[in-house]
Amino acid sequence: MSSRTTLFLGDFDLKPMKRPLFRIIFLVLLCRIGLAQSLPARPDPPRLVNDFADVLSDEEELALEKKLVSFEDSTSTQVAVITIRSLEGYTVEEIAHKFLRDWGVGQKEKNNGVVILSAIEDRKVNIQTGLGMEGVLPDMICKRIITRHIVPAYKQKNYFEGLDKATDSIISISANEYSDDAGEGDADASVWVILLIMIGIFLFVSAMARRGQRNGTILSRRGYTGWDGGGWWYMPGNRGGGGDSGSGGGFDFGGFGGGDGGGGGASGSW
Amino acid sequence: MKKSILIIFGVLALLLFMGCNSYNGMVNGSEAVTAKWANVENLYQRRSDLIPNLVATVKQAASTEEAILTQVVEARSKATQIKIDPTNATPEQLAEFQRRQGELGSALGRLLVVSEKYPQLQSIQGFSDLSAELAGSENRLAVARQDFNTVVLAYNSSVKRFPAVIFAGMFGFRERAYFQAEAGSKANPNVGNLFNN
Repeated sequence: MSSRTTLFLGDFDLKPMKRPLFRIIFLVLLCRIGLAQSLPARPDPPRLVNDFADVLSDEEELALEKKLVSFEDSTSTQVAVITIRSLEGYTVEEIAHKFLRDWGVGQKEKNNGVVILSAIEDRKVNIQTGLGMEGVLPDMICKRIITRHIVPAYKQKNYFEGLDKATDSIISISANEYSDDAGEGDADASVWVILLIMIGIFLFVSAMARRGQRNGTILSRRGYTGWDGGGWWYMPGNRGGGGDSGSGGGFDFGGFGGGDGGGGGASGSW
Repeated sequence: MKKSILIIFGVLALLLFMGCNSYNGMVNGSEAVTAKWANVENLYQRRSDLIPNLVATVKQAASTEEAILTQVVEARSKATQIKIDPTNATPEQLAEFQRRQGELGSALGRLLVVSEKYPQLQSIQGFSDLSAELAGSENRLAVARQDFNTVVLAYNSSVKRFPAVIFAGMFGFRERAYFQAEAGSKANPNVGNLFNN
């Protein structure tokens, strides 16, 4: 490792570099620079199936996307399928983890994301589990999914079949791990609390206002009911936020949730 | 007269504020380093816990590979002897820890390579499960070490920056040691080419 480092330090022979501490920092930076370059940006509109290597037909992509989006709708668990051509010297684990973390696959609190990365020319595949999926999808299960479903199909170049079976089995294994309601319940609760407080303040202020103008103009009252009916009660509908809408087609992926992973999962080659 | 007292008072208050501020920042940073270290340590522990089972399984099918099995067991006991206190570990201590764990890692790697010669071993489900878990441990360790270095970098630069460096000295916040880059780690490939079809 030192040859590269000394070369590096030789090129930039600044004074601080001579201190060992700076060297260490530079070493650390060096090993981070490698992957610091960015992956493809998050797809916009967001998609769970990202076929960069172009090994799936449009119908196949759509079928997978549909299945994964409906799984996300019912469980909030996000399974992203990504294919790339080459790893360019990186390990498949590094790249898959980078995708999972940078794109934020899975929900933020639950970290329930999974990335299935296939590097077609390197013939390497990795199932990368988010931190919240490690319990239901331990490494050995990921390994079995790869050896039983992915590798045999990939050997025949049946990429869709492999991914279809693999996602089926991930879905059936992890179907009961998370439910969408449980997670959004929290978000709902906080929205409702805020809503209640705001209504409380509003009622209080309007009560004060009415007390202030005992003579009572009807106008102010009409204002009150108008607000109540028109504005406030629509708030829960807005809570989803963030998600892009419009691509239509009966299903719609709302975007990655910011999940994180710790490097769990398994790899295989075909 | 009164004015100068006020100024002195103001400067003192400002210093106090700055001190509190950077003290709290350094406490947070230091806690983050400790937490990440705990994660690193857990993962090494996890790997270490997998080994007895692995050795027992390999023995069933490949008992002739006594030498490599012994190496693994010895490397494991050496690696588990050393304990690191992240709050005042010197770079040398951390390097020693990393060296011993690295030796264990490479002994395990050799064991897995050797085990490929034994088809009957490959067909034992327990063995492939164990090697999958082991591989997962290595990958998690890679992530955890990098995350550890990231928080150490943030903490160290917060401790050394002016004026925090004054308070760091006063309150005894010292720099923390990093994990070294893995020996033989690859040169930086051009990631830009990664996604060109």
